[in-house]
Order: sequence, then C-alpha cells, then structure tokens
Amino acid sequence: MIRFLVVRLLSGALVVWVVATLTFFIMHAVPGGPFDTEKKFPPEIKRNIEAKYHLDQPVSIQYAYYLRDLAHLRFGPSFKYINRQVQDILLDTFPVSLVLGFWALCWAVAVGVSAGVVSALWRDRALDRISIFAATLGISIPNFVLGALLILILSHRLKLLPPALWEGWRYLILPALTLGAGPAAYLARLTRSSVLEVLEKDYVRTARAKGLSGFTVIGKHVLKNSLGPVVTVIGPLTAMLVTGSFIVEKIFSVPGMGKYFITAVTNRDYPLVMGVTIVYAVLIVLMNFIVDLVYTWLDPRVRLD
Amino acid sequence: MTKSYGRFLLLGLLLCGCLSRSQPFTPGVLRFNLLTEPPTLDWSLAADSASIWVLNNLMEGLTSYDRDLNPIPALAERWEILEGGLRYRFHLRPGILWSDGVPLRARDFVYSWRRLVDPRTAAQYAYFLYDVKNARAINSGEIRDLEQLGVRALDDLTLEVELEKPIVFFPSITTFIVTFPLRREIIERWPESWSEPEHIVTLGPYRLQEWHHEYKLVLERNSTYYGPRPSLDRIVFYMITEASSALTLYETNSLDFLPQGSVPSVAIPFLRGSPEFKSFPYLGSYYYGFNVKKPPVDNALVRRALCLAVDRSKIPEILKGGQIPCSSWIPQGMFGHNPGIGFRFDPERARQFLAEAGYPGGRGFPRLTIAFNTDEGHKLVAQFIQQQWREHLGIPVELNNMEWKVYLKELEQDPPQVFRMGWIADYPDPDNFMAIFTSSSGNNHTGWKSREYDELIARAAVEPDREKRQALYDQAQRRLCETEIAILPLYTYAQNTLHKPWVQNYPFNAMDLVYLRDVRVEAP
Repeated sequence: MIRFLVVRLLSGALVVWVVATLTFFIMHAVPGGPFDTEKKFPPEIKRNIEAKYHLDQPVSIQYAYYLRDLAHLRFGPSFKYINRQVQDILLDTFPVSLVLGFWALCWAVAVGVSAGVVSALWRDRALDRISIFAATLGISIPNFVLGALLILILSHRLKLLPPALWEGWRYLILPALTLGAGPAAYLARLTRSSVLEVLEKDYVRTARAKGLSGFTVIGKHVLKNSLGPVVTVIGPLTAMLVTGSFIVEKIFSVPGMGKYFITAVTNRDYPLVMGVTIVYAVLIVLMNFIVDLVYTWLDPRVRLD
Repeated sequence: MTKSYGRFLLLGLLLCGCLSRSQPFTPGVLRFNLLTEPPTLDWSLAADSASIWVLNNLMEGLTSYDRDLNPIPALAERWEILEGGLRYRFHLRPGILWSDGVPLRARDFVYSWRRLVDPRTAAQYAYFLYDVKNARAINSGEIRDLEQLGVRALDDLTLEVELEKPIVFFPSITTFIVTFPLRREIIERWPESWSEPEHIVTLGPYRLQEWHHEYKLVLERNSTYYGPRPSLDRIVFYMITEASSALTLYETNSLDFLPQGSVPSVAIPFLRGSPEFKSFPYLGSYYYGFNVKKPPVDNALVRRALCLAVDRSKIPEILKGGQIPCSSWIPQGMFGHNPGIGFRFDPERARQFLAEAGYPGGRGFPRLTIAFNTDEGHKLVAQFIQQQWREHLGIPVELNNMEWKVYLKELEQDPPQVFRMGWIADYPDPDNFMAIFTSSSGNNHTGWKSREYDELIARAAVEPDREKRQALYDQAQRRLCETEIAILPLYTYAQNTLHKPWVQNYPFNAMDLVYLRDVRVEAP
C-alpha cells in the first residue's frame, strides 16, 4: 500500500509537471501577448509593463521564475486582474464551481445510474425505450440549448426558479441541471450496457438458479460488478464538473472558474492559464487515484501493488 | 456557441411574450449590468470601461463633463490658464473630504500624477500626462527624479501644472480617472490591496461597500461627498457577460439598466419602438485601413476606386445596431466633424479609377485580402465589403479572420492589405482621433506617413481659435480620407441601452460615461 502511494504520488507529480511545462511553453509560443491591445500605447509604456511582469526576460528565465513560484504553491500575479494573485482568484472562484459541479455530479450519477439499471432490467420494454430516448436527447442537446429551455420553462413560464445569478440554493438548481444533463445521459447508456453484459454472466445465472431473490441478485451481484466502467468514467468526469463550465457559468452568471479556461487564454493571461491548468491536472490525477482505490473495493482481484 | 444560445433564448422570450411584463423595484437602488469584472479599481492602472464606469462614481477629478461633454469644474472650482496655455493653475474647492474624513489637498494630486508616470507603476494610460513637463522623460526612465514632473502644490488648495506645449484640451484630460488624486499613506500601507473595500478611500458621490469578485460590486451613498446629495442609496453592479442572460434578468426585473454592450444585437430590431430602448451616437468610428506599402493598395488610384465602390448606407440594415454611416473620420457629435469630407458611393467613378490604375473591369487585379478579428459583426461587414467590391469593381476579394490577439500581432508586425479597426474616444476632442494616424503613432498600421499631416495635427492641438482649428482638421481629414487615402471610414458607432421606466434622469452621453450621481430610481 505504501509503495503504491509513493509511486502514485511521484507519477502524479511528474504528470502535473509535464502538463505545467507543456502549457507554459505552448502559451508563450502562441502569437499575441498579454499586453497587445487595440489602442497601442507608446513603446516606453509597454517596456515598463513587460519589466514589471518579467516579460522582458528570456522565456527560460520566466520558466525558472514560474517553477520557483510553483514550488511555493504560488502562480504569480494575474496579467489581467491587476494586483490579484492567481491563487486568490482561484480561491474565490473554485469553491463556486466545486459546489455547482458537486450537485451536477450527484444528480447525474443518481439519475444516470438508476436509469441505466432500470433500462437494462426492462430491456426492450417501454421503460427502456423511454430511457434510451431521454439519454440520446441528453447527449445530443447542447447545454446552451438546454439551459435556455430550462430558463424559458422554469423561470419565465412557471416562475419557479431564478433565471441566473448566484444568491442562494434556488440559484443552483438550473445550472446544476444543465451541467449534469449530458453526463447523466452518458452514464445511463454506459450503465445499461454494463448491466446487460453482467446479466449474461454465469455467476448471475448460478445465483438465480440457487433461488436467490431478484432483488438480491441485482443488488449484490449485478450492480457491484457492473459499476467498473462507470467508476472509470466518473473520475475524470468529476474533475471536469467541479472545475466549471464556460458555457453554463456564462449563461447563468455563476462566478466560478470555468470561464477562465477560455478567457485566460484569449487574454494571454499566462499565470491564470497555468493556474487553471494545474488545478485541473491535479484533480484528474487525484480522481484517477481515488478510482483505483474504488476498484479494489468493487473487485477484490484488483491489487494496489 | 453563446451567440446561438442568445438567439435561441431570445426567440423563446418573444414567443412567451415576456418582453412587456413589469415587476416591482426597490426605490433608491439601481441594479446595473457592468458586463465584466473590473480588472482593477486602482485608478492609476485602470484602462477598461468596466473599471472606469465604477471609478467615475467613486471618485472625481479636477474637472468633469456636462451633458454636452464640455469640461466643467469638479474638485477644482476654477482654473487659470497662464503663459499662453503653458501653465494651468487649478484652485480646489475648500472643504472636500475623503470618505475617511481627511481633507483633500493639492499634494494628493501631485502624488497621484507622479505615481502615474513612475515607470515602476507600469500604468497603461501614463501617456495621458505626456503633455505635462517631463512626464514622458520620467516614464521612459530618462529622468529618474519624480519631482521633475511639471506639477506642484502651491498650497493645500492650489495645484499648478506646467505643460510641454499649450494644448487646448487639457481640461478634458483632467476629467479622466488616471488624473484623480490618491492618498499616499493608504497606498503605502496596503500596496497590494488598497483598492479593496476594506481599505479604499474615495471622495466621489458613492463609496465601495462590497466587491464580490467576478459577480457584483455594491456602492452606497458617500455621506462625506462635497456636492449635492447623491440620489441613490445603493448601486449594485452585476457582472453579467452574456448579453442574452442580461436581457433575461432585465425582463424578469432583476436588472434595471443594460448599458452599451449589454443589449444583444439580435434583440435590437425587436426592441425598437419600446420607450425603454434608447439608441444614440457613440464617439467611436469604424474603418478599413489600407496598408499603403502592399500592392495593389499601394496605388492611390486603387484605394480611391475601393472607397468609391462602397455603399455605406446599407451597413445599418446589415448590422441592425443603429450605426451611422460616415465618409469622414472625426465622428458625428464631436467638434471637427465634417460630413462633407470623404468619398460618396459612386460605382461609375470607381470603375474609372480602377481602369486608370491599370485594371479595367477588374481584369488582372491581384488577389486582395480583407483581414479582421473573429467576430460576427466584423464578419458581416467584411462580407458586405467583399460583395460590394466584387459587384462594382469585378475584383476577387478574400476574407481572413483571426483570433483577436493574433490579429493584433499581425497588425503590429505585418499589416494586411486591408484590415478593419476602430477607435473610441478617450476624450471628446478631435486630437484623440486624428493623432492616431500621425507618423509616430503606434496605432497607425497603414504604413502611411505624411509630414504635412503631422504638422496639421500638431498645429491644431495648440490652436485656441475654433474656426482656425476646424480648418486645420478639415485639411488633415482630406489628406487622410480623400487625397492620400490611408483609410476608408465606414460608420460611427451607436450605443444601445435598455432602462426601466423607474430609472430616471440618466445622463446619456456620447462617450458612454456612467455618471450615476443624479440618477433616481423611483416610481415613474
């Protein structure tokens, strides 16, 4: 177990460093700089700004500064949001995305897995067809269309929920529904096919032949053994959901960090790009680690070492 | 993708008949869409409209604008112009207090201006003070002693400014946020966080109460404000970037005011006629620039033909945003505007000039590319121009769109044959528009340099006689748009806003300045 932890920690750190380094050099290679603006200012002003942020130094020196800051868990000052450190920006916005992503994940897993199981158990019956149709819709409808539909129906027509802003739990419902819809549909399809596959296994047939009740067979033998692929997907899915979505946060005016995956790049705000990338990479590594632990519980044949 | 969302939502709103519903409001509280997070509230460093909108309500300068954008006294109750305009002496109003009760002193301006031009501050808008003696030399590091800057406090209430040249629009410069006073002791005590609500001190009509980053800013009435009692108790600036979401919140009465940039362009045709919708000119112009060093637009006859072959009157139908077609560069509503300058649509003459240039009927015309940054509106304009040049001149035109920063880099390093650009006024004086095409300007991407033009602009900047000044700008504009033709002006921008009936006395102006001191929120 200790060996496993050490190996995973080291390999995780290596992955994060590779991601951070690649992102750093790719960002610096992209044409256009953080202080290229429509209204060009005189060259001496540009020199002053570049000196302030060490952009007048060779890229290798900037990389050294960057690694030094990273070693101290600092990402440096944002180029766009003056006098704000990137870690402060992330501390302000990540918890918002985390809350939103958590609830989106909860409903996606609850609805997606349940729908998948029901669909598989009642294969080719009405419930299955409805579930497949809903899942296909959920995967096909872009979240900006779904978001707009929910606003029109639940906010404008029925006046049940606020259309946007972030003032309390009622403001969480529409964005969480929108954000979780695609993953719920995907999980439903994945669960269905996985359950169908397990239902064909010999040990399920044996359990039934031994006279176990349907509930016990499903609950004890089928469900647990069919969750492997679902758990595999839930790892990176969690990282994706809790780091926010540009579209959903924009539509519902949620002050999360999802927008920075786009705006930090368009602004060439290098420290902020690095910040969100590293947070995402760390979460992916962490979630994959947790998934590996969950595997050992689901399938005792899997050993950590 | 978000544009698609906007169209989809708007269509739904219209089908639901939601655009006419009304709900209660809170008297004395204005909910205003700021669109985005202000990058900073440090007014030496602010350079974007969101920051400027907020700061113009937290602070004031020596001067301010009246509704016609003429500079009027603000923190300075009067000023003297000495030595033929080379020296300005501002007399501050007595009794002005900062929000912590400390009196305003002339040295607060001296500190602020020195900080602005200090290279270590790295302020983008430091060049606003480049006409002050030694400002540029200090900012470029040639002079290290900040005390050499041409500004000093003669006493607590008198500020004297020495200029490099007698520019006539200096009282407009002192309306701008970067010239506002600063409290040295506050900044030195909290250098990184002095502009956060817990530390900031201001002296405008409102004070900063709350700043929930990326979400909202809350201002409340400043009880120490020197002027008339501000009308609003609170202002809530929400940062809603998606225009369609802002419209949804407006329609559900969660917002009272949608400023310029916040009303979705697809909604404008449906909103026209509503008393809540207001469209009016903006001191900003949109143009196509020619790189006069690249063939075939290195030939003035070709440029003339291209200008004459565009029927600008169709642009408002295409963009649907209330744009005002214009053939000259200084925008409508600004001193110096002359609608008689520039080329009118005349396809016959255009073809003649093209033939004279060696391309009769467009035959043998080399490939021409229009470059623009990726944006739906810019694309529509480019497609329109492409169609006009094809139809009237018979020439092949290609379009090339680029991501914004890539585009800016391209303009800096290798400007395309034809490129789109625009300019929005920093101050309501033609110098702000005309100086960008001088030989030394970094904003002149055309490659065109004219000593005569430069001289005209320099003379106009210091000419106090309005008639003579107008004549100088007319001459300069003719060179720019008619004889030497570095640019093809297309239209003046329009501002499109939405405000609830209970938002009253809003000072709409052509510079999109948000002064909320006298705005009232009360039953109509």
